[in-house]
Amino acid sequence: MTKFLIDENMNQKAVRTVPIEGKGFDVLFPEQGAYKGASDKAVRDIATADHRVLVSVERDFGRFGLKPEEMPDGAIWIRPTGRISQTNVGVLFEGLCKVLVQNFSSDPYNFQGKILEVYPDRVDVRTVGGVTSYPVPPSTNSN
Amino acid sequence: MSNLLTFVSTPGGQQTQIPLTEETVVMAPSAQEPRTRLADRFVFSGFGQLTAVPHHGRTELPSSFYDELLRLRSERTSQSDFYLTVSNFGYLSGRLKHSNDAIRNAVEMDLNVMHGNPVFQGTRIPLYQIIEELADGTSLPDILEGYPSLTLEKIQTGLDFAASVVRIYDDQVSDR
Repeated sequence: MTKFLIDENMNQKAVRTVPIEGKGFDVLFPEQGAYKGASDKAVRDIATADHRVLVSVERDFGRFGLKPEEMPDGAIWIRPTGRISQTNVGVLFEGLCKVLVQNFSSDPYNFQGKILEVYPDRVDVRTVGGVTSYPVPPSTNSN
Repeated sequence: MSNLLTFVSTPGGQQTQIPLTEETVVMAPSAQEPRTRLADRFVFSGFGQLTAVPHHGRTELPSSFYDELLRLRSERTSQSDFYLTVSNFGYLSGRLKHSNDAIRNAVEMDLNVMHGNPVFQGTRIPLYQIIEELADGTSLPDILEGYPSLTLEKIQTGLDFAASVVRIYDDQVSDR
């Protein structure tokens, strides 16, 4: 079962718009974990030790400065190009889900060895082999 | 483009302004020196564009950065561009240090937490992120729901700090 660690800088209301808990995933929020106010490294270490996919807003490129091999269970960096807000983060999550289902249909929630960088228009997937960009499909109910 | 470069030299906030000249001087570290340096150890000038160098204080830079500096020093041409990113960590930490007790109890800055951005005390939530939430129209109740570590009082005090850094304090202007 895929396990996630939600960083404290994530808007939890936006996170919960994606029914990841409803899909049976094990999701750790700061209130349950011991990483409120923790250092960047401590958060990373907790995620790694517990084999969790670290999910964080990461607009300061390189804050974690990690390579895929350093996050064996994977990481998801949410990178809004505009404001970091509940609305924009929610849109990015929606786009991420579409990309995963469309491009990784056999095992969409396997993040091992991957760092995903989620932008409004694409998702970059970093592995030890390099980076592959996947465009976010247009919304079917756009105005 | 300004003809002055401002380097924030330490987390304590000392700043140095260096006039640009036609001469380019790159003081890259020798092989024997530790590769953890402060921004004010490097001087770039004479380039059309300037933007990039070390970040606030004690951040260890990747070796590739120094290697690139050394390469540019040996191969520099008029086409070479440096990109200098000057962090305002020093300024912000200085302002925080001189803030009132309420703000200092509500806001903290630590280079190991959220890249040194001011965060709400005891959290990993940067102040700027809440300001962006507000700017984007997220309601206060939604913010409080989205960030359970925060309280209305914490947000208000954080905004007080944010307000304090976007006003001019004449008493801090040098007489020079």
